[in-house]
Amino acid sequence: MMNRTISRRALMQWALGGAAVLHGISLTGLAQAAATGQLRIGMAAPPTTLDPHLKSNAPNNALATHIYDTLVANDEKSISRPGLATAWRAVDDTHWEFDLRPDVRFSDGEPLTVDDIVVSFDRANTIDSTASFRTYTRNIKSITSPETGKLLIETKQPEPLLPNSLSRIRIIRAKFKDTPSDQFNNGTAAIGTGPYVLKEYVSGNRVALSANPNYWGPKPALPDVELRIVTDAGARLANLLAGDLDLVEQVPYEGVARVEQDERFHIIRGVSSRVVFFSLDTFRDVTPFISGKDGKPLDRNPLKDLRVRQALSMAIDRSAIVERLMQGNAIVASQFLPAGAPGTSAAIKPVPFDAAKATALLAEAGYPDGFRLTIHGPNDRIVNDSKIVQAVAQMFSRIGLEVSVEVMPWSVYADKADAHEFSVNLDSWGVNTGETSNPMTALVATQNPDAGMGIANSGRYSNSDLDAKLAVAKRTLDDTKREMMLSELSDIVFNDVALIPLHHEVLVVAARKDLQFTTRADQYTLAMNAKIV
Amino acid sequence: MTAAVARRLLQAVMVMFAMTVIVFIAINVIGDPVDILISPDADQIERARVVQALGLDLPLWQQYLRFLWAALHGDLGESYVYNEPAIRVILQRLPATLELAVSAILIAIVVGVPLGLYAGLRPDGILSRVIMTVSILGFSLPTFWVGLVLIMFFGVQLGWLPSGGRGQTAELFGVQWAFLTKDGLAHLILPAVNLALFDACLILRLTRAGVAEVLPLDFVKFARAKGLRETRVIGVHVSKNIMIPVVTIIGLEFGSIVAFSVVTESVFSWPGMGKLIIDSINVLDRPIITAYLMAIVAFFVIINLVVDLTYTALDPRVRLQGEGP
Repeated sequence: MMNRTISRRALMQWALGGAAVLHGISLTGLAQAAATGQLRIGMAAPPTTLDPHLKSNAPNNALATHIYDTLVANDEKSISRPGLATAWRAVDDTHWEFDLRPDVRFSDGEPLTVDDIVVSFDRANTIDSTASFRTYTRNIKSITSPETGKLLIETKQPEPLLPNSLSRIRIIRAKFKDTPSDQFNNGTAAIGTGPYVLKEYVSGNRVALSANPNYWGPKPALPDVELRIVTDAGARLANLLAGDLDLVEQVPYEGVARVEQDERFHIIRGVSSRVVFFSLDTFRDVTPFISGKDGKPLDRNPLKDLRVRQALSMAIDRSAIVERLMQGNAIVASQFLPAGAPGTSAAIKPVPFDAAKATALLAEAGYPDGFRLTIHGPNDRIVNDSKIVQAVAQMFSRIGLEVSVEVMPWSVYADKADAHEFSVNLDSWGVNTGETSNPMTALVATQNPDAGMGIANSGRYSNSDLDAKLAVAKRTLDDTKREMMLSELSDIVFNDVALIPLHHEVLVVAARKDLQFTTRADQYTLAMNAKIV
Repeated sequence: MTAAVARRLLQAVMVMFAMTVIVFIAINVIGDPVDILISPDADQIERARVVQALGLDLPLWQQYLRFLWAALHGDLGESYVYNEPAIRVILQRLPATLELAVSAILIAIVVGVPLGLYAGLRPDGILSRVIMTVSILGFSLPTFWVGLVLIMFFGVQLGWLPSGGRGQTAELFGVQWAFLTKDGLAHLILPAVNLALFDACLILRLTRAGVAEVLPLDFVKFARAKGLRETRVIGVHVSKNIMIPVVTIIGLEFGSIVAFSVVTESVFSWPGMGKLIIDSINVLDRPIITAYLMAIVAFFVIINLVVDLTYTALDPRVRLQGEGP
């Protein structure tokens, strides 16, 4: 599997290189790239439905954002901004009041009513789905309209992140309450209040959109949009170079130089909210993939010792990974989000690479000769995942560990990570709320299915002090107070090395030179974010 | 004749049955689809709900019996990803793959057979040697690389042909086809050529080998001695006798082009079935995988039947198994 990827990459480089040599034979291709007013975007992953409540995943949600609106919108940095609601305030712990935007009309000309909003939330909460939005709707007890233009939402538990949850639920027309999803896919029910309207959707192939004449906000700069699904990275780049596409997402790193040397195009980069990290098994007394160098099991789990965790973190040369392996398309991570984001701590700095100190810490912890360790990772999920695991394995072996590597496809890996089968494993998390209570709840809170805590805590890290303080923070509606609490919690998590952060991924987009484009932390590629300069 | 066909169809049903068992066990061994399907920020309550909704909480044999019972009623299940009947999702993608496969196999025949004949008739000619050398390249170069080079050359450098996608489609018999529009046809050329390359070379070499084998035989000498024109000797007597292996290969290759054209489809972003099955395997979408493989088994059985029927037409000595002497 891995060999295949590498040779494919290498071969693509040759193909690109060969084409560069041929450059100059003919320039007819250039003529096609001239501005047409149309925007053709090459998408890396296919959306599977136009029903905005059926399936929550990034490609579907990104597509839905073009057509439908939400009460609260998520901006580029995943911060809550006015959407169909112009302002909101918490009345008490469980009641929120929203001012509705006046005179909003659907693309079919009908006005937006409270009924449409109530139905949309109800539909999202009840639809038969394998990836539903219920995580965001379940806590809502009632939605009422005490007076015209106002909306009152009552939650079962206090939920400071309610505005963010609301940004997940797209508003459809009330009359499509029981409409099956295929009616959305063929366009009959795909009626929203968003900046674009659907022209055509061909599953796995393309989506055509045009500007919504009834849109309440600023009209999109490019009214005629085609989202073309081109999953192969090399083909996506070739389509751009051929002038068949105007903008492509997820440019393969080996193609960046090729785009940069072409005067027709430019590269646009933006930080994503995806953090790549290693999970550590700090739960078991004997962890399955660590043993003595003689192959005999150790009497205790070294990962339970803070000094060992610190040593592992210190042994990783993060800037080498970022600069060489990621070719500069990442930034070194010290915590869940880049410092300065809500809920991060200014006191936490990236752990500097220090092999000598790491070796000393290992010796101090009682492992002067190191131990034997297998680290695991997916090979088709995170950018350069298998290379990262291999590089880190080499770095670990420099401090005296005997390390082997095992990578596998995501379809095999996900199940095993969920069943806590690994000792040290590579993982990633997209922090789509733009603040740190979300990754803390999912990644480092003690697993508790009933409370929805620790869903992705594959190392089963557990810290009762953290749990208690997180529970308080998650109930605190005052943003400033909550962010201070979360910042303090970030100190706890990363001083205790609950997991080892590596880097934040950077999005790489290539576009025609006259196109300006704003990337988003949640990695959605949105046509509204493109402008002609 | 009818008995032979019936026996083939029965075989197909048995193979399909065995295949569903294998798919069920294999996917269960690989992993749990729920971990891949649910949105990453879903909590455990949501996860438990999905497991139950998909019936994945039942023991595997019960899941299988449920599937079998529904399948006997013509229901192959709903895709976990698309939430639509699996068979409908597959049929939506079928026309794209079919037109690509048919174009590719036609190109392969039109190019492969005449060139093979030529190379066989003049084995020492310079042109024959060139043809044979190029044909080695044809089936040793990896498809995706050739695809990318085609895109780079004809799409990027020359700008003659579109570099990917399916283009405009037009409706015929209630289905959307690309080959009916000029734009669609332009989109079809590169992927079809890419896909045809391997098979054209294979057919070419088979034809050449057949010609070389048949030419020295007595019936060819006899035909020539009778004073038949050379075109008739080659066109009828030689051709008919070398066609059996060629037809076998065309049949088999057509099947595999339809079933496994995934590489070409992803390089050219051609929205066909090959792409669908790989995506489905990656997310363990069991209903799609099962339905797809069942359809492919049926497809191969039908192709083989057609191939066998073609044999009897080409060579009267061949009889279908189960047919009277």
